[in-house]
Amino acid sequence: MAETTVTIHHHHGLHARPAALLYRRTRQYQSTITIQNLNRPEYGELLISPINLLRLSVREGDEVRLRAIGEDADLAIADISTLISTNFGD
Amino acid sequence: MVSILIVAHSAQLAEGVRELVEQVSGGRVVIAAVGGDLDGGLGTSIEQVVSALRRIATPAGVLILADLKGAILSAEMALDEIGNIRAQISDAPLVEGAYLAAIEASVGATLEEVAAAALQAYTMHKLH
Repeated sequence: MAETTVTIHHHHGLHARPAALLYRRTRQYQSTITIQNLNRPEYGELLISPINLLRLSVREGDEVRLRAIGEDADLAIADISTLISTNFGD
Repeated sequence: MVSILIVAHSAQLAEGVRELVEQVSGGRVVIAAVGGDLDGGLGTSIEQVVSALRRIATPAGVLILADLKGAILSAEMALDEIGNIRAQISDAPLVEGAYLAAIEASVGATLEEVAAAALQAYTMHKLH
């Protein structure tokens, strides 16, 4: 298992394009990858999917915890946190 | 890859939804929009739906999303007219359904998976 906590700096939060980019990236890995919005923990830890990203209401400035379970977990978490920290290429 | 057809009673509405979901699909998904009747008024035209379906048909299939029931009826008649085409009409709300379908289609999901993603729109509230 691999895990990391990152802050979302994109002005759209995890909606629209950033959400789509994040989901597409997670689909490149075999691991099961979950996300929890630490600023809204009541929504729980959810699998990364388009509908769950809408549910989580992640806004700019929110912290999220990402967890991956699977053979490529370390690689997946490293890659996804880079995608987020480089602001989805914007 | 599954393509998506937006059918609405207004050309502007259909085009607006297309513009929105085009952005989340990252240009990976073929998305067509038809709206309005043949005279440029409000309504849906079976001919326009038929021609759009023929344009974007793919072996993976087409998911059709509609704004109101009249658009569903036009889509059904268009599919009857074309006959042999892999397509499914979605019962999902137009904007949320198209948004979810476009993201799912963009990862190369099957028509069944894309259709299921669109229907997930019913499982969430947007007011929190």
